[in-house]
Amino acid sequence: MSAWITELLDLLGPDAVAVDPADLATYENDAFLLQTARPDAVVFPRDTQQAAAVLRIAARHGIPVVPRGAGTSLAGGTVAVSGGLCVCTSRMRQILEVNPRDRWARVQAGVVNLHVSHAAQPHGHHYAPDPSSQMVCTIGGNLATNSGGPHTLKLGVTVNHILGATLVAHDGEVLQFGGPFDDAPDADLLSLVVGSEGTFGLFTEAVVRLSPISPAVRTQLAIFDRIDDACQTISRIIADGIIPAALEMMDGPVLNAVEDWLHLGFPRDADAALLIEIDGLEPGLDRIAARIADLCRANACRDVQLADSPQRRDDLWKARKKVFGAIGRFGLSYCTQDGVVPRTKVPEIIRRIADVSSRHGVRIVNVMHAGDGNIHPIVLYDPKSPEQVRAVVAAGHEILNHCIDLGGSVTGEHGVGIEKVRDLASMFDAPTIAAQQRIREAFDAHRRMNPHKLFALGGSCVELARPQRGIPA
Amino acid sequence: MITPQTRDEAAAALRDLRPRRVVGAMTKLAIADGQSATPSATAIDARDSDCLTTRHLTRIVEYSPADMTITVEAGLTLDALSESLAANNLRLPLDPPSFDGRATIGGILAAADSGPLRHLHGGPRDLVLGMSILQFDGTRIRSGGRVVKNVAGYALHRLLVGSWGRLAMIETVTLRLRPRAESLRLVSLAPRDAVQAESWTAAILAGNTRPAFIEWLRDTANANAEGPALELIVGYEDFVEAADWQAAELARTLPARILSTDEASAAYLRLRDWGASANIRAAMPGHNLHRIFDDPSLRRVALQAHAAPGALLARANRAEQQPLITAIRAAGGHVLAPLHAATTSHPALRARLARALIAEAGA
Repeated sequence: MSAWITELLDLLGPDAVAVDPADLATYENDAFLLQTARPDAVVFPRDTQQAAAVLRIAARHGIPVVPRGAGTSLAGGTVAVSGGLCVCTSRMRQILEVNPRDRWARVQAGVVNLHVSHAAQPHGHHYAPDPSSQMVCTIGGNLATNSGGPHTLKLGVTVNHILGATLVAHDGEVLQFGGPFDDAPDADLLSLVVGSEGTFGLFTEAVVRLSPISPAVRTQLAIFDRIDDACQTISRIIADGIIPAALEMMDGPVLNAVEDWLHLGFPRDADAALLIEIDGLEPGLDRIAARIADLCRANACRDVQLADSPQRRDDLWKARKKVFGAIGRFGLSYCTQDGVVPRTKVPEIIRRIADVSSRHGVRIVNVMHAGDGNIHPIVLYDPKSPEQVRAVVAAGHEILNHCIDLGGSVTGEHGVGIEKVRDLASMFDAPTIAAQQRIREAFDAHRRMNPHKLFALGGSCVELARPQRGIPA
Repeated sequence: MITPQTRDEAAAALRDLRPRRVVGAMTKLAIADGQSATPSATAIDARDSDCLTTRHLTRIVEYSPADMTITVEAGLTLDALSESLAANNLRLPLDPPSFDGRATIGGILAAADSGPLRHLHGGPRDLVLGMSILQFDGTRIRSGGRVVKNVAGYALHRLLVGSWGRLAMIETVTLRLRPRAESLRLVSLAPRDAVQAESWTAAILAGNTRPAFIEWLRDTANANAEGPALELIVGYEDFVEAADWQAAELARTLPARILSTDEASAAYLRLRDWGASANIRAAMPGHNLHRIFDDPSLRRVALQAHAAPGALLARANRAEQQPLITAIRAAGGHVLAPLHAATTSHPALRARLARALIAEAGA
């Protein structure tokens, strides 16, 4: 056994160190699944001090370190590409303090996203960012990827809800950023470390902002015969001065797949549906809901219905959040992309995705956070066909290039990980990439933290040619 | 003073003339230096060749009202920006002191300045989507983009918020916009002291309404026999019905007066602009603000607080400054400005980041 693993065993005890190949198999991939690589050991520290001691050992021996929360990364952010040590936060699950007056909670990095909202609920608060994996994904992972979710249109993404963070650097130094209140003196290091995808260090604690729960909500479903009209409606609603809490779009094939499974009464022949949710206080909300219905009808909407019961609202959200389960019933594998375009370019990107689909001979269906311009095209394919597998990878890069061309981004919420190293490089020019690399080295001169993520190391790119399936955000 | 008229001239000037500092309209030198806000005390000599100003870089680079994003050059003033947006019923929901309309977008971001609306809409870091950045050797780099959701690469555009022009020059900024609110309602309360102000603030935060801001103001212009009086002003920004309901709800539960539309407009501008004369800025736990306001040795210091997030502005004379700074630290806060008193963390990491952006630029 390697000396560094012996030291970790001495430090944490056998109960908190996994080295058995059968145990390690669980940690060889995340929700990305296109790439597997087994770490040499996985450790489960309980707090910041233990994590710091672990990273000191890794530093002494020059071992690569991969931070990991619940392993829900869709971009391969937690894959141990060059082996080494995986540090898992799954035993760091304490909610340390809740302060309702100043509206924050201090939590350990392994706390599950939804559990923060549960802890805040007695005070009428919640933690606003809600990735679809919120029942399992961790706050530490959310910080690392600057996660989004359907309800970010009005309230913003993770970075807008983080007040402070504790990061253990590559050498075991414990760095505190921000605090339990908004501002920090000098350049905003806290906002820089959020979204750094594990390359600056391991998050062990965070102070998260709590937001009041809206007492009133209206959820509407609008059905369209043409997807262009649905897109136009999105722009019209927002141009009217209404910022919905969520504005989601599903295309015809997705609607059919959901209907096959859940039987919610969706039409079979529609081209698109919008799920529109507004929230706030009760006074005035009916007027705004009526205004949204008018705007839908004025843009050739076939039918717009207001969820008339909490049950119907839950059903509509179930339809949206179970899209990927419904797609899975097609009997094919699928790969979910994550790109962003300016909201007004959604009709154009949909046309281009259709073109990519026909040229590569792979079926692509669409579900998206349309209000944010955040698309999630789902590429369906037969994993046993090597041609289709190659086509999926090629189609993904092509769609992301179209996003760049339309003034957007190659990732809105899933992160770069290993999946998009090449796409990130095509989004920025050489001086920008060089500056980003130097920033990384300011935190970790030897790039030992989460190596091969975000940027290629030594010009080599991890080759992805084995897509299987993706699980959604 | 180096006064580039275009972005390319700015890049060339940085490369060839190597200025030591980049400024906007220099409205915040007073608070940066902790001086009183008289121009003569702080103005940089206009002939100073070490200083580059962005104030002539005032173009709107790209504006897409339907996407609710805009890209502007750093020298554009917030007032000019607001004017351009008003035609589309849009605004930047960031309301730092306007300094008679002179404050520039670049300067506001570099100083991380904000105002009452930060409670509802967040601070500058929450509204900046991307930047083009000029390194001090004139190299142009980009960060972020012009879409509202974007996690591609490190957020250098957020790192530069609060950097006071010391890491690189903000060249252009892409900002997230919002529709103008249908209605703004203000409600005024007169607490007898800051302990009562805190108890009311906590009650409002725990209550049925959703304030856009909760402001405490103790202005020496508003003094009685015992000294300056403390005002508590709550703002509601919402749909008409919701704003009206919330103002009435607050007046029902606390001894509060709903301001008329005219009174509200005047009061809001006073709250927004009061900080222009402040010379100390601090962040601190909201629930401890009352300790500063009720500190016997600080009774005559003019103070403003954005009470929900816990931001403090003070206009303190020379004798009052040190006791105030001591009191802020004792209450768990930290000083953001003046810069010589600011508590800067992680000096080694900051030095490495500065080297990464400055000394090795273009290498």
